[in-house]
Amino acid sequence: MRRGLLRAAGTALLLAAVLVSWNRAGEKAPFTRECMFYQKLPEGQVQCRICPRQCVIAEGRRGFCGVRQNSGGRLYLVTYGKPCSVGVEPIEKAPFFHFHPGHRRLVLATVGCNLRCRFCQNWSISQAVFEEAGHYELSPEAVVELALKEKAYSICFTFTEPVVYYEYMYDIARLARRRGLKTAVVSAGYINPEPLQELLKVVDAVKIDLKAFTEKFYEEMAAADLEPVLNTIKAVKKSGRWLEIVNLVIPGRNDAPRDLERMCRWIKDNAGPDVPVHFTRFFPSYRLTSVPPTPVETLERAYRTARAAGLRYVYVGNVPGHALENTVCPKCGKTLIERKGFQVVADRLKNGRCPFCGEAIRGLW
Amino acid sequence: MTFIAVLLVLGASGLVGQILLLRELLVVFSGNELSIGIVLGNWLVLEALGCFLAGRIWARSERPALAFAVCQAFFAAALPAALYAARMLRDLCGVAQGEGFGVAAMLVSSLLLLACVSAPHGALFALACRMRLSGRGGPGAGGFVYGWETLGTLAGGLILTFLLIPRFHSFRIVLALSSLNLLFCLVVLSGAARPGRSLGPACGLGALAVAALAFGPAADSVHWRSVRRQWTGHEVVLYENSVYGNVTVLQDAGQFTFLADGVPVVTAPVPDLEFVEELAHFALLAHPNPREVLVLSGGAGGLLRETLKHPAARVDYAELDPLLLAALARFPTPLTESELKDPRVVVHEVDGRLLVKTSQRRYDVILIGAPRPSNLAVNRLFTREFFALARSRLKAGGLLAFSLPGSTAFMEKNLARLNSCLLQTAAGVFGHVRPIPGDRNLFLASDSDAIVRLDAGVLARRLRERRIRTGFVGGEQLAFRLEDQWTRMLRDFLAPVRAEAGINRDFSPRAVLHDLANWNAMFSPPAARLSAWAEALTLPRLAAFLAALTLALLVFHFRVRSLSGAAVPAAIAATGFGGMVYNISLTFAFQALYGYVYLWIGLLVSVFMAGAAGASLWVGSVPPVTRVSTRRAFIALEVALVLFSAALPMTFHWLARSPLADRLLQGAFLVLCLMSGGLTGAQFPLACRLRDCGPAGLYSCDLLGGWLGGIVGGAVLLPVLGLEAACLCVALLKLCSLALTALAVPPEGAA
Repeated sequence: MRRGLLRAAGTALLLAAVLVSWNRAGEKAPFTRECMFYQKLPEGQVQCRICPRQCVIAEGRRGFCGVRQNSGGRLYLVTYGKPCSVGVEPIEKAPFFHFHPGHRRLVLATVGCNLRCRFCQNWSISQAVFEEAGHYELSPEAVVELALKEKAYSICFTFTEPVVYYEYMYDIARLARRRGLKTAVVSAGYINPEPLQELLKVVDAVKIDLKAFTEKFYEEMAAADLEPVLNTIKAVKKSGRWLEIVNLVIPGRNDAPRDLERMCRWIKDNAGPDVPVHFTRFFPSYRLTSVPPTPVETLERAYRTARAAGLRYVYVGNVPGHALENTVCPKCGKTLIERKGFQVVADRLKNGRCPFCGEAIRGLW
Repeated sequence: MTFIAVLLVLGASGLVGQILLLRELLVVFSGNELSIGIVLGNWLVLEALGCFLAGRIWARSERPALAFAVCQAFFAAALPAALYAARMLRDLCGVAQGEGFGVAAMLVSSLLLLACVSAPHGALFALACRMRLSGRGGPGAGGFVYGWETLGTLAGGLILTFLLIPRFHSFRIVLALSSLNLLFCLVVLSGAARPGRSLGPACGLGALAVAALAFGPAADSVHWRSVRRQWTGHEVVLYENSVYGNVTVLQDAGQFTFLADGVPVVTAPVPDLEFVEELAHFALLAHPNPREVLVLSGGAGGLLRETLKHPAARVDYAELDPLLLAALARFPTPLTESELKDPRVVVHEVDGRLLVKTSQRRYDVILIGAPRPSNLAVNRLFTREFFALARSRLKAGGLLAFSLPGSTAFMEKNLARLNSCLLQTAAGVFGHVRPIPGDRNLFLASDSDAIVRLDAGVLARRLRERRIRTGFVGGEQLAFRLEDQWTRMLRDFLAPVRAEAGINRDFSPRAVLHDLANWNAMFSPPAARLSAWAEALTLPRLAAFLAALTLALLVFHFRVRSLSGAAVPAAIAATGFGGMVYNISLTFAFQALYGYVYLWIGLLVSVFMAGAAGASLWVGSVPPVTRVSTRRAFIALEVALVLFSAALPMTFHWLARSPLADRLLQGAFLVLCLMSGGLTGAQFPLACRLRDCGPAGLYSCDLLGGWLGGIVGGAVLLPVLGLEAACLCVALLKLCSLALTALAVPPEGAA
């Protein structure tokens, strides 16, 4: 209890220092970072190469994401050093279940997104215009210092799509690594191969939000394509960085048993049987106001499908107290990590192995 | 007599069609205040357009009865088709299943859908006037038609609300109505001097065929086919309307989802545990011994179960719509059954505010289960006056808890305003308010400072002592939620919007405004900017604008071109605007003061319409003396409307503070409705005489004014300026029309 109070007090003091730098909406600040992946085109245009959209951007305009701007024939990241959201949370909220469970992470996000998901939980920032939302002034150095002072174990880029503030994320990750901090990315995986490869050199873990396994869903519900996301999953796996996959199951949209089965088989074949897969429950959000929450039975069916496909670590999410939130040894079936909501209430792993049968449990522990 | 029956059917058909289509569209649009305004507004605009065009096209027609019959047959055919199309609207508009509509999509889709129904209905009014004129009419024809049509509207509303909706689904009602309209085509044709040869038998056969459909199994078949199309991908096990709204139940993989007007309100057997556990346990753990608890709305489906885990001896639960409770009983789950059959739970099928007002029982904890003040009816649980009422029903050390959408990532500006508004409102009533920020912000309000001193340790100890098992809320989660970082973050989000957030009052529902703006930001960012612009509206600014406009019009009239022909229609439009604002204001004030009693609301609207119809018929039946006297009477009515509008705010305040018995005060509301209806209805026949021309154009102006009153009054004036200022706006508007009429309409000669 005392430790909890001390931690809370520490958090308060440190975040207070950050929050005083909060800028109200509309206050302008100069761009500070040129984008890493883009090509100059004739007549002052540029082509962004960060994601598969490959936006061609005229002078003074911004790309689809709303945060990468052509200024004087060069592409700049408008939100560099200007996160709209900073906090300290449990890593389980990501959800990351095999990446140092129970630790506290510094979470960070800027406005903007390169997708248009109709069920986005963070639409107020992902779809916001930068100038209309408030932001903090926080350089990469300041972010790392804050994480260290806060005794966060990792820095997690989340809430909105980190791909759109790539340079900010990249610089923070490089600095964090030098200072001994882990970094994790929560992304939809809609990124081009080249920037992805560069990013994977500096981050430790990636969670990919695989929204569905049909092109139709991606087109209609997210204004994107499935193929680049699958390529990202393969590339992350190949890089050796820790990978977890989340699938938000939306009733009547992406819960067809056949599609789920195809998806699970694909994951096993391309990302391996040890990649943790989370099937999370949908609740009405953003524009999908009339879709009912996912039945728990549907999530359990998805779990069975995934296990039958050969995946060894499968979870059900957004159903607090459900037994399938726990980590179970795939060999002996004993419960190894017990969770309640976002909290780890028991961790029985011994050096990354099941204490009951000795089975090695894949993850970063 | 036959003609009067035709007019009664005309009025009733319009209202029944309007209400049924509105209900269907509300389900599709996940109904909020704005969608109601848009649908009703579109209906009125189209009706006005139909009336205006018909008035023009058939102004000199010698066979108006034939045209009337054709229009009526078209209306009869279009109504069921529109109903079916309403349920297919997402497919037709390319909107994904379960997705809400933006303002522009709502505006355009409902306009197109209603065009084939309300425009012909408007045309029928113009044609009825023409028929009356070509018969034994004269200048009084407009008033006569207006009066009886309004009476038909009144009758249709009462019959639909209290007889038809509780018993039949929309398709059966609509098909029966179509059959009736086709039958009256026959009646009209048979009375015509030169009836159409082929139309008569066709109408007769059509009436029989549609009647067979309406009263046979085919209506059920069409109804269920369209409902399944509307909810593709889900199994619909219930789709019924009550007087309060639509209740739909979807079944999927062992889960029942209960939707009210298309929005999920209860999910069982596994609810949103994070929401129900946090609201129930933070509130009940904050109290040392919660023995008596009151849950207002949203209790079934988890909140009651979590509440019952505490040492509560009695839990009163108020839910407005009996159909929702009946649906919960009809499709039971272990969760809902255990909640509603628990002997400690006392279910009240009543408006929560009314229960708090009428009950003398005192509580340890009052939980507001409604997730947000998304409309004026729900907002009544979040106002300063309600908080004061709830405070008086709390025992010493008792607390009130409610929750609002929040975020630990970032809070959208209007959402921040909503949170700030209700935080300030609660803080103005209670000694202490403790916000607990999160993805849903919790607010605990009490006169005891114990809630301020609460820490995670105390809550965790009580959780252990009460031996409560939870799925989400545990010791660490309690500590996490109470971390100071979230309080600071919330303060940071709310501080910049504090001044503009305002206080949420009964007569000034700021929270609804912020919620609508947040909804606009989600679905239609341009509309959000528009609403931001509307928020800059103040009474002095509006007064200055109206004064400048009147002055400019008068200068134009005297210096450039006479506006004598436009003054009367403008006055009628202003009266239509005022009539709608009176209607909304009276209903809203009644709801706020006496609780949501649907029968009373129906009675208020009925009395208003009866006043309008009675006054119109009475004034229309008085033989015209001279144009001078008609003008004088019209101007006198203008003066009366100005005075009535100016007096209304004071009357509301007097009613709110009066020590007289509720019954007497409720009677006073009926008198006010009768007066406002009478004043607005009496002007129409006078205007017809003063204009000395067909009433179609004037009726269009009346409807256009009503449309503006519905949209601007309901969605802008009332939430932005409040009830009193909205009435004063009408007074100002009528003052302008009075000035224009008095100065621009000549006492002698044709206008």
